[in-house]
Amino acid sequence: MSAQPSLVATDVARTFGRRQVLRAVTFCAHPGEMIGIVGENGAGKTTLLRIIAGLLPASRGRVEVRGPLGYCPQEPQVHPALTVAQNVEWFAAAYRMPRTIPAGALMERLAFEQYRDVLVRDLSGGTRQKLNLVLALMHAPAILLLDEPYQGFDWETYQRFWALAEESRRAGQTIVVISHLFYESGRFDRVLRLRDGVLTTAEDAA
Amino acid sequence: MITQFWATFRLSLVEQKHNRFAIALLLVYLPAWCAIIAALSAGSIEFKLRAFGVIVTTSQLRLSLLTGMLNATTLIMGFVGLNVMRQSAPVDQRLVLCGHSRTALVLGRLVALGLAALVVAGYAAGIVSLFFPVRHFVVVAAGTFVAVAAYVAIGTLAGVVLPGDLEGFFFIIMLSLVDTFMQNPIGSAAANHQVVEFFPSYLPMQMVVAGALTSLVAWWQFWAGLGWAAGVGILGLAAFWYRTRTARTARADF
Repeated sequence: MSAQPSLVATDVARTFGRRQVLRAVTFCAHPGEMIGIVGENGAGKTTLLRIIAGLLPASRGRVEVRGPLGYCPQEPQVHPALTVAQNVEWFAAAYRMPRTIPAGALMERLAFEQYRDVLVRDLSGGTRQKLNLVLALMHAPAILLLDEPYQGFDWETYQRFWALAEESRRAGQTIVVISHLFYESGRFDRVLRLRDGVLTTAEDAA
Repeated sequence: MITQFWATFRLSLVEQKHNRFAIALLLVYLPAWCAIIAALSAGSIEFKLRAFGVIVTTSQLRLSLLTGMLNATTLIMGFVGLNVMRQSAPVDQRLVLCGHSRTALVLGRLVALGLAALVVAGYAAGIVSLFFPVRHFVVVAAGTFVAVAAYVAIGTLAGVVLPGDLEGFFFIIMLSLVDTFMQNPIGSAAANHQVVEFFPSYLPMQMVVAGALTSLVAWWQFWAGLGWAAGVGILGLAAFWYRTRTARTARADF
């Protein structure tokens, strides 16, 4: 693991109206590290990830990142009236990368390349989620932010996802995963626990 | 940015091609609506074409066909604009987060919607021409384009500003009904009131009616109507621009 962090969040706070969702969250993550963020519903996990991703401004504090980000939101954010291949093409244009070659390999890994030419609105929830994940991974980002990325996955795809995540970690990517599944804790190098917007524990799980 | 513009333009058109409901409405509802009007309208009517200050005498059938066509196309394309904004805003924000130029995104979507409006206007003018020979087809198509563009812009704005689909649908339905009904001298005493000049489809309506029934043509109406649509469209695009913003500027990359 490199000594220099790829992601640093310092004193990050966020309020919605009078409700304080995050309070002075500080942590860092290094290349090749997989971090799990756990907590109850409404603890602020998704808000924290959205702030790190840049979708939401922090009310206070600072986020610093080194290298490109990949963000997989909890709900699939894809164009429903386009096919899988067309969604990939549009995001490839956003990433300024050649069309579908890396995404094609990822689609094979997650076993849904046969849906390449199917409209997203006609896909099952699990297959939409696979596409949602591929759109975050396809440009091989230095930092991966995954918000419960396996919702709707069958067991086999769930295992494939973790195999892929392991490979990405070994390749030096920083991975931050939001999870509420206790039995997944062993997969992470560190587990950060959010409670009422406060980062209460940071324990070594590995 | 050019690659991103073309991707947005092309894929926005593909999205619209897959809007089966809107296409079905255009292919089935519009001709059926015109056929019903043709079957039920009778008699003649004399009315003042406000923008030209002339009295026109025509059949109720022709006037009803023109107002009915405008009402149907503005409704359908208003929904298309609304649908594009409602469905795409979160994904478009994600695209921007992934490095997509917001300018390319907005321009690509704008040009695609403009092209769709052009095709729909030509088609709708063609449908009306099946029922009676319009005097100036290009003027009718151009006026319809302006009306459709105005409602695409209104739909776009409603899609960004209003909280839900239902609110957007009701807003467009009510606006289009009031707009076209109040201007129609058949059944609306307010058609000669000055207030109709402020309605979204006033200038296009004058242009379409004049182009279809008279030899009067005033292209300033086209440009003024387009300006009206552009004004609302700019508000919608500004709202879209705001909705697709990211917090990247507040972050530090080291």
